[in-house]
Amino acid sequence: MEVEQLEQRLEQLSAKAVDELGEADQKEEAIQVKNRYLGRSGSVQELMAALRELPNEDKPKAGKAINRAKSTIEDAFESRLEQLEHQQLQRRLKEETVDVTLPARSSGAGLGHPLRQVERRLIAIFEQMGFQVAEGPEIETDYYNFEALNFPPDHPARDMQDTFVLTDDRLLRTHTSPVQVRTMEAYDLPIRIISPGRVYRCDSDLTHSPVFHQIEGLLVGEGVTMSHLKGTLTTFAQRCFGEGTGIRFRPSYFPFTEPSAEVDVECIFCEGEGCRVCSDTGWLEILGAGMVDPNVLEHADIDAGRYTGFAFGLGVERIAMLEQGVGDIRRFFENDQQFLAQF
Amino acid sequence: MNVSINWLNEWVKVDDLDADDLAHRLTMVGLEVDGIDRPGHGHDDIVVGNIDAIEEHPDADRLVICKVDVGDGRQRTIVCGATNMEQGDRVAVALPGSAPPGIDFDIEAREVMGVGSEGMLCSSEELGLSDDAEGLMILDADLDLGDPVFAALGMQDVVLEIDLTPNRADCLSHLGVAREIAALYDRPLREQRVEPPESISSRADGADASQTASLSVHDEEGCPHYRMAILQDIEITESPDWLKQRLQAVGVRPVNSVVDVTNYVLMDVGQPLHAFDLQQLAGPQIVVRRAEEGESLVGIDHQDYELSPEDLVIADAEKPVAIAGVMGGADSEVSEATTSILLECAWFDPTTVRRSSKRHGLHTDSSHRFERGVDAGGVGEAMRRAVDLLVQIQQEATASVPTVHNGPEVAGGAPEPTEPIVVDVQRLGGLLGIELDAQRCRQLLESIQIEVTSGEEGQLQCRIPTFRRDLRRPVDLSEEIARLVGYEEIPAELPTMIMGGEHTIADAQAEKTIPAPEQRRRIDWMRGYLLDQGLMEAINYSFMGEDQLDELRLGDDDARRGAPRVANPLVASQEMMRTTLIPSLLKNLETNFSRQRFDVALFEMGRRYFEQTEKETLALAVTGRRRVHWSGDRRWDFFDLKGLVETLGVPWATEEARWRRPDVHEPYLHPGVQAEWVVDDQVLAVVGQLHPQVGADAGFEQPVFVAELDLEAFVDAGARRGVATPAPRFPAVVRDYALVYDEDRPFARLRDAIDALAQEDDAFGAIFESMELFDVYEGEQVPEGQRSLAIQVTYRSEEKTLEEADIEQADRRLLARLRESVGAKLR
Repeated sequence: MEVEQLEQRLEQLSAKAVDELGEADQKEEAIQVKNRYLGRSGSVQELMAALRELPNEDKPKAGKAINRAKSTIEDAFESRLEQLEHQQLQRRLKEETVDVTLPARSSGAGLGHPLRQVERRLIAIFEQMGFQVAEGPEIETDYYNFEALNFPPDHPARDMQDTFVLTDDRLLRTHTSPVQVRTMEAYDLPIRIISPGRVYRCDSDLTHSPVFHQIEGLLVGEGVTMSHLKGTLTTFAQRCFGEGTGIRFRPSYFPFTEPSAEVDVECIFCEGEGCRVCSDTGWLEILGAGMVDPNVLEHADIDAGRYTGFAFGLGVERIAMLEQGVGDIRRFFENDQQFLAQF
Repeated sequence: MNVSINWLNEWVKVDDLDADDLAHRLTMVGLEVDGIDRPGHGHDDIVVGNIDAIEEHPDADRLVICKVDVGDGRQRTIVCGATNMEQGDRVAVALPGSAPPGIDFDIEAREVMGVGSEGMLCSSEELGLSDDAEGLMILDADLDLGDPVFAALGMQDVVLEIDLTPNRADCLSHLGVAREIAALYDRPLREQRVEPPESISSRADGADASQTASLSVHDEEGCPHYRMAILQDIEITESPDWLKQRLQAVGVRPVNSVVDVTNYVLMDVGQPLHAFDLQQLAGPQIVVRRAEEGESLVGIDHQDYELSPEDLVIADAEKPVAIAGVMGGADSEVSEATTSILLECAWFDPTTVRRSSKRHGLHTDSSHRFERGVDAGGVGEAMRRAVDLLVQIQQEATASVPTVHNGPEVAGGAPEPTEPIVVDVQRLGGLLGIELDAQRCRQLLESIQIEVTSGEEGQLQCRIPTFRRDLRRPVDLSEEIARLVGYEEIPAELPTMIMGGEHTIADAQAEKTIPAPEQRRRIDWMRGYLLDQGLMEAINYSFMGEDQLDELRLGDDDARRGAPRVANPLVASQEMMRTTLIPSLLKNLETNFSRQRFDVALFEMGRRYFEQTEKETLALAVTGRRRVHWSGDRRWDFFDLKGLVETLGVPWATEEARWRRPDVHEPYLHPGVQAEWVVDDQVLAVVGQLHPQVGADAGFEQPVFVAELDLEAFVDAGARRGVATPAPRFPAVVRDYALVYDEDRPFARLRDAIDALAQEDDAFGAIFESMELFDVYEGEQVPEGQRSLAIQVTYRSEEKTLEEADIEQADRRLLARLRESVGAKLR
């Protein structure tokens, strides 16, 4: 074979290989085509034998031609491969495309009980104000629930709190105030606590539940004044109900405080204008408070001549009912999933 | 306590005050006004009319046609069914558009049996003034035509409903509220009230009640002060209108002159009185004593009361005739046949009255006042007022006068004056956080009738009037000062004291009340995790009922039946304190199912209550679908719940925590689908499927899974303390094994056997990294009674890349051990 013939033959082969590669739809097919031409027994390889028989002066030329053909086929192969891979990826991406508007798969986040949500929020506010959380038993003695809190036996003030009785001496606490007494017994002054928890009174209607939740606060130390009480509760009201929420104190009576106060917060619905919720008064009764009665301090062996204190208490249900628009307190305790999911 | 403005006006000038403003100021001074009622107001279209003529109705025998003049220059035709009126009578005319308070419809002009009627002539009942529906209310002839009836009758009033706190017994009367108003508005109290036209009591001063009845008080502690008066030849009549109106305004039903006068004095000055029919008293004699065992009394409410020796009673020569300060007896009750009465006016010990009132479940206007303490200094005056009124009323009604014996009293005259209270003005101001000087302080205290004299430097001596029994200590006066100054005057300031650190009280027997921060953090974490997992938080009452424990099929000797019991539950289903939270959650499921909500996942954190302790507890109940998705739903099963519980323990659970089938089955759980999680035999949690029978009994038609955890065990467990190991330097080798063994041997045995091997065999232990179960299979190709467990074991050395020989050696040891201790063979 002449060198020209060889060159021509290589041209043809490489052109054919390029065509065939262009038609290969699969990677494997392209590899087969490549092997058919460039493999050990491929067509181009076969022409290597012809090269050896060429005169020496023609060999460089022929060699170049072979290399040219090889690289043409290699290049065509690589680019076809790339093309095929690209197509394959495109196909895959298309296949894998989903309707992203279909509903998600999730167990959904659960929600804290509305009462717990309110309780946690209030606790957080008081904790930020430096009050530590204290806890105590719900089954209490008459001493801690009443006597140490200056409710003498047979005092009409006991009627203010209808009590569930277990035995002669044991009862369900009617407020979380026993925790205050227990804390004064166990810790050094100053004492600055809140006591959240369940409390009990025999009463059940739209706004009263036999089991409900209170948060009470206590600060005892040297030089604690009623101004401090007002400052604390004013700050609380603003953090709880919003900056600028008005608050008013008016005289009341609790056996364990003297002076005692009912604390009203400006109606959160009408901002003091007067509406159905606040019975047109512009105020919502939210807290009870007062200066700790000296008898209560003395019961806890605290020198009432030297130390003073304030205490306050509020009902979690009351705030939850107001904020969440719940008209019947019993709904909180049904645990209807649909109800719980609203908060 | 309801107070009438008209009535108050007799004590202090209030008729010029705006009622809303008065209510607000009373509220701000501690007498919370809950409501304002305006009887007689808003009825300007019920007017005085004159019946000019009465004609027969053409078509109705029982009706007549009245021609009525209401002063507007024309005659109205009004059809009427009454018969008691005559031509020329003045009557109350409800014009069209009016709404008389005693009926529940509006008046309109309409045809009555063919005759047009322009309004209605009213009976006393229709005006809401009495129960008297018999005929029209005939008015005084001198009333002006066209004037609104209620105003013309002087029956417009404003009634304040005051919600009194128990300390303010002094305000349980018009006099008491008037005192507050006098102080508040700086107005004089009208101590000199308009007396009855002729005071009769002086006439009887010579006579002595002991001539007609004897008095002995055997219990001076229960009754330090007892007065009686006897009125003979008394005629029981209807009370005059002014008296009835007064009582009706404050919600007291008029009965007869004697009863009404006692009620009037009670509402006027706060002193309860009781009138006995003298003829019905054996002796006649009054003995104030404790009841004897076995004695009883039929009260004026006709209920039979068994008396106990703790009851203070008023007795005649034979038997109790009243429970002192609480209620009189039916036998000696004043009736229309009564001709002489014995009037009692006393001061009973508050505690004694309260105990009797509680014991008999009798709460009366009288006991309410006695147990809060009436004005011991006002007893005599109250008696005088009552006697005067009785005489006056009888004189006006019948022109006769009863004979009055104003009797002896026991335990002297006025009560001992209490010791003056000494207040330190500086200290008082300091407690309130206000600047206070002695002059101001004095003025304020004097405004509420406290006698103030200057004591030592900066001190005031305060003598408290007898009606303020609630003021006993300096701190009590601080409240008086604060409320008179006005709480709004106290500045707001933030306190700077911080909670004392660790308690240092030496004999710290007292339990600590402040939980460690870590405990609260863990509770929060657990709650957060469960919420993240899609569970809803429930809160239930702390109660349960015996029947709920029966539904759980708990045995008779189950410890949970020994729950603390509520002696006075509202309903039987709340008779015990919860010793398990499961019944509450099952009830919640029932509620949800009843509302067609079948995918429910709830948890509750609450306490279980035992005789000595209260245990923080977490309970879970899940049922239906855990995940709802178009690609396939996922239903809750046992292993889901087990996984939740296990994960809750991850941040701190020790390696020793193990799952096992309980030795003693929980009766409310499926015997084959229940497990407990234990550390050192302490049960941390019980998880299982609700027993199908328990579910069926509750009407559940789908499997329910529940768990109960001892939260304290979780919270108190030591913290997990990790120690870092170096990152692996050599590759791991993974081997799968399909093992076949008896199906009644739990997987845990296989796992424990591998753990034990890793502990005991150094060579194996050195390269064993972990084991994971990836398939459980029973059925074809596995012999009957056996199952196949497929596990994957990961090996890795810290020293070299493992070779085939190493793995083969490990394989051999592993399989030998499993054959030996579990009877497992390679499949």
